[in-house]
Amino acid sequence: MSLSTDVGSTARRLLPTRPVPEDLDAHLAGFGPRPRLDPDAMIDALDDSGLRGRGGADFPTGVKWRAVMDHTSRDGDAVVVANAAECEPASFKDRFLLTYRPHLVLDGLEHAADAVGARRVVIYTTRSHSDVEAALRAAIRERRRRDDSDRFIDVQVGPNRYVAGEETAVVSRVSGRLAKPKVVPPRPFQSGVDRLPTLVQNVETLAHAALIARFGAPWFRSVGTQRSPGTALLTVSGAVRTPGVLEAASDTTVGAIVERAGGVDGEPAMVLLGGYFGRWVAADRIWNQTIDADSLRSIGATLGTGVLVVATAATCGISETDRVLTFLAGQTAGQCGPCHVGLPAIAETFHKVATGRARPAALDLLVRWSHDVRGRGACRHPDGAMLFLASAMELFAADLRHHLRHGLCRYSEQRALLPVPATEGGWW
Amino acid sequence: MRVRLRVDPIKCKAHGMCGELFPERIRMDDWGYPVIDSRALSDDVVEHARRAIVDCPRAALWVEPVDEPGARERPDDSD
Amino acid sequence: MWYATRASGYTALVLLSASVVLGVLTSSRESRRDWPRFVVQTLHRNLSLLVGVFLVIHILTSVIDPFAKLNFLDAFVPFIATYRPLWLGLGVVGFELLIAITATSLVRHRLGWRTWRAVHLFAYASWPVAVVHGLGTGSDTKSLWALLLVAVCVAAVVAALVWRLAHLEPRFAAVRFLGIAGSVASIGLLVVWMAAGPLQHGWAKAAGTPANLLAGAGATPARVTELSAGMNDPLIGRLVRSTASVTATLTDSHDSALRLVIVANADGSGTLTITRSGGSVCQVAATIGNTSVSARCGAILAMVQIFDQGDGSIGGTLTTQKASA
Repeated sequence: MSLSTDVGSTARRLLPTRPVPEDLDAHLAGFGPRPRLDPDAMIDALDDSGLRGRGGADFPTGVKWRAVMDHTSRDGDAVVVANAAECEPASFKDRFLLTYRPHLVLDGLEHAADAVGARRVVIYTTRSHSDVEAALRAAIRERRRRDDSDRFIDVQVGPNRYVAGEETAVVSRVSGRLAKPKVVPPRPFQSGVDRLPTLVQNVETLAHAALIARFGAPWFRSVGTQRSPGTALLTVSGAVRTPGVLEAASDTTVGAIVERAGGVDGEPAMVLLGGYFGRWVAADRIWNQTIDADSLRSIGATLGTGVLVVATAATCGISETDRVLTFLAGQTAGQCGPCHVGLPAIAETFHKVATGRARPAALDLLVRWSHDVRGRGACRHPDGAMLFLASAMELFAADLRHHLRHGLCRYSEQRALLPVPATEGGWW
Repeated sequence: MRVRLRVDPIKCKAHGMCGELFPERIRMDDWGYPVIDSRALSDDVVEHARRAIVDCPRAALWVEPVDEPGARERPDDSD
Repeated sequence: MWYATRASGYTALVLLSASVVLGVLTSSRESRRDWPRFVVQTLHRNLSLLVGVFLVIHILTSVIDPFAKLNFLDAFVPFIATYRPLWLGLGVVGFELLIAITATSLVRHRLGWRTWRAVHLFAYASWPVAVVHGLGTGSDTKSLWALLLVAVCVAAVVAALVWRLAHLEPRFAAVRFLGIAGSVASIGLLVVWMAAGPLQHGWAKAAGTPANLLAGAGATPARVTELSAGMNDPLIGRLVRSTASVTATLTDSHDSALRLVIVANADGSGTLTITRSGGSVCQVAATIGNTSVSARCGAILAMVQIFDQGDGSIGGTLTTQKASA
């Protein structure tokens, strides 16, 4: 994975110009010391900045921090967790950020702890991302040697499973139990780690918050759109010449972003945007759309976890969807019937369609079943998977009918575009 | 106060008792799990809902006030 | 009264077995069209409550009846009774398990499923405890009907268990194998134990029946009697004549567990045998008069007056008084 060498762009805020991990000295030289803000001032700044969560939910950050602050008891007991799990296989932005600018994330985490009055501060990462864990521990050690505060940042490690990065799964794991999602309500801001009000925030969001604390809300709003101000990190991959992690202002078009990733190796046919809970969109429909929420919503898409995969016509969308669907079906926590029974049934049926071993009625079955499982799990795993499937069935409708009749097409045997890693067995 | 019926999908293990006792608002999906109509319960069916709640082998059902999503009418025995 | 104890005990066992069968069936997710799950579950619950009713009768009658000399404490603290302590104690254990199960089921919603489930698993323990208790303490154990009844109960429960285990998901293959093997093995164990224990002669003594309640070993000097002085009980019975003797068999109308057998031989000798619930009270030589019989049972002088009712049935009176030294 390379870094885009987009020097001089106003869009470079989170990522450094040179791909060198920044230690504490470099961080302080570049950004100055971490300012101490009074909690209301910090949260007001977040409200004014319009910053929204970058972990996929796109929830207004100020509102989230204020909710936790309001629930913190009189003696100020709350928990903040930086979510560095990044269990989305095609996403690398969080790991990138933690490798090259860990102190920006840790600053944001400390701002959050100050604002909500949390005594326990945790950063939650994934076991198989061991180099990230090492980089984090080193950065924390640096801070402890330098810092006069008695705040202790705890590194917690969870399994590499798709749902282990979900908010309530993170809370569960940090509380010492399995990294499986739980039923809401209560939400973490009401009752989270050890039943305390808990803030779970994506690391990219925390990094933005750290910059807002230093440079203010108007500065943050100086790039991007009104509704989705600022910049976002994206992981661009697929049929591009220099795949990697990029930072772009929200008013940048998809096409421009792909250009910065070296352009397409061939003719772009479709794009998967958002991750495995995202949507397939036709390339010509999305190429000129900016990546702000309003623009994407108008074509039925969301930025999600910032995953942008470009594919040419030489990729079989049905086969890619088949593999990802099977992956998602195998990634359930095994807790909720409609998900852990329904998703495998749906994935198996889709596989039969893709390999030409199903009857036409299977398509109706897929539609009916995919409506049945939505909203009936403790978390949004079945919902996300079904939105992904629905976008595939819509965009690749003609291919679907072809596969139904003839089985695998000549592009099915191509090297897989979307990664579906083998994940470890446990839930710890 | 208007209430609606909800199911805890983690506790539910598809015993199927609720669908038999309250078919007006609960239907079973193809895998035996309940699909609950989430509209507010009218007065004439509330007793059936309560029977289903009591008879669920896993205590997976509960009613919550329509206006306060998240408030449970019974103590929460979270594990 | 002892009849009531035995009857209610066997009834409770049958009901408990039925309840366990239904409970096992309801734990699987199978259902038939005309047997909705909620029907099976409601039946299971109601049967269990009925078991409780009969258990209370069983315990009350066993304590009230003077035969085994049980007091209320024996009903709640296992293994301290004087009458067959081990086997009775098992009954107490079973009773207390059932109290726990019933209590937790009534407040199931407040406890949470996991707590309730942990206690309810003891239901599986209470059933074999009840069976062994019944076989060990039961006075009727050797009788054919009792054996058949228990056999049917055991067969039903084991069959239900095996069926349930056979329907487990494939990943529980080990549990299924162990469970079925265990069930079959335990039946074998039960049969072996029965043959070596309750079905053998002398089981009553080996089980811990107090000496004064055991049947006599022969026509030797009478053991301590249960007869009290000052009795004046009407008797009814039958008379059987043979060439060498006449035998009168009578039951005490006031205490139907008390039976008298008088044998009058042609040579003028005779014997009086008094039993209570099959256990020997008195077995002595008796003085046979025209219409009366007297005998000395330990410190009690027993006199039986008999009158022939003509149709083969006889009536009589049993009077007792303290024997003079």
